[in-house]
Amino acid sequence: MTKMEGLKKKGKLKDGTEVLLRPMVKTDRKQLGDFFGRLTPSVLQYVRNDVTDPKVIDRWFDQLDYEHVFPLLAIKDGQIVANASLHRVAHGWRKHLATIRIVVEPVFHEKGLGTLMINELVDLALEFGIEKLMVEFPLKAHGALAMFKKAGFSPRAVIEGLMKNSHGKDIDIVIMVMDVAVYADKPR
Amino acid sequence: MRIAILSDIHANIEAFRAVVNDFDRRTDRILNLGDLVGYNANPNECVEMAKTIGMHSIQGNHDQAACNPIYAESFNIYARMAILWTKNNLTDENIHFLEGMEESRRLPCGLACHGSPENTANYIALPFQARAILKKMKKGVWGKTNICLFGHTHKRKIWRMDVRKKVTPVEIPPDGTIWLNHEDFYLLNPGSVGQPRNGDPRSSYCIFDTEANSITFKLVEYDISSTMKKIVGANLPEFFAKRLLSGT
Repeated sequence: MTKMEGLKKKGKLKDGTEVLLRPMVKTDRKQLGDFFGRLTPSVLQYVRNDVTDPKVIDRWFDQLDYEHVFPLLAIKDGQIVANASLHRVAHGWRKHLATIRIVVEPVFHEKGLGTLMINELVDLALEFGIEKLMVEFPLKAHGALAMFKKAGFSPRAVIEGLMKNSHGKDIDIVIMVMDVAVYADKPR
Repeated sequence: MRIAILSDIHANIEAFRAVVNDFDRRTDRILNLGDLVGYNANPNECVEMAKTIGMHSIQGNHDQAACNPIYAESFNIYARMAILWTKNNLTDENIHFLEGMEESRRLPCGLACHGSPENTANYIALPFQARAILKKMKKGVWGKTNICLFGHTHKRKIWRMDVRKKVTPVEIPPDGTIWLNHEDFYLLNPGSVGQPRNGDPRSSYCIFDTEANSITFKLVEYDISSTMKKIVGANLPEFFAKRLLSGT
């Protein structure tokens, strides 16, 4: 067993479905491409990178560095059904801070999968010495707002018209923050 | 009485040995605030040493999980992997020793626990968490005591609640010694022997002199490279080895 293969745990969703949580490894390249390939344009428009470009995904795998970006996958029946990541800065004024990005396959929305993955990233953030977590997303993404609130994040700022969607329309962004030590030991 | 207070040894035998060698001859008792095992590669050696030196141990959340993996369900994937490795490598006799530890205990010198007096896995890391426990201590929820010794955060710390009920962290001076006031209430964390997270890689512990009513924090250097080699050799995550160098 390699070191990374031992890093895994099972999680249970609201409907009793079991998923496997584990870090992304080099051999997940094809599966991750398939995962993004199943997402609709309405979901993909909020993904930060152009994941329809194979070179973008190739670069992620070429540059896998868990101390910089920790990518966590949820696996169901051998398929990736969610991808979340913890982004850290090694030095300077943001050293104590990490940001979270998460994409969940729409079939698994409102089943508690996003919350399960965020909770795991919060626990990992504490392990990595991170004190605060931050996330930003469109204010109108009510599902994401509820999910991050449930995980212990609170909205700290709304910036009107900061982003634009694929049709060039302004989008308001909400920034949510959490103190890791407050929520790390809470039963969930 | 002079009591050496240790916590979060986490199967780091090199650090544990260095700290025990640092005790002076006037040390009367040794108290461990939990997590003798987990993360690092020498759980059996640490349990054996705890027995040999007659250390009184409180049970930590990693000790609990090494005895019963159901407690590891709430661990993150790194800590979970390490505790499953630990369970597979501990002897039955040493698991039995860990099972026999108490979760918390009122001692003549104060209340001893791992995370908080309320729960082994809870953290006392932020002012509101310290305030909540200190208020309950003042009310006598855990009996009459004005000192609570705790670990779990891997960071040395003293919180004080004065007679006006104001809660503040107490700055640790360069010589490490703090004189306690009988009227105030204290939460005291000696830091971690085996995996410090204060940004200083040295092992951290303290000496509580109950007659002088003083606490002296100590930092001890140990052979970190040996511990790191053992972690890698045991196929445990390299992250556990690297963090020892930075003390984070």
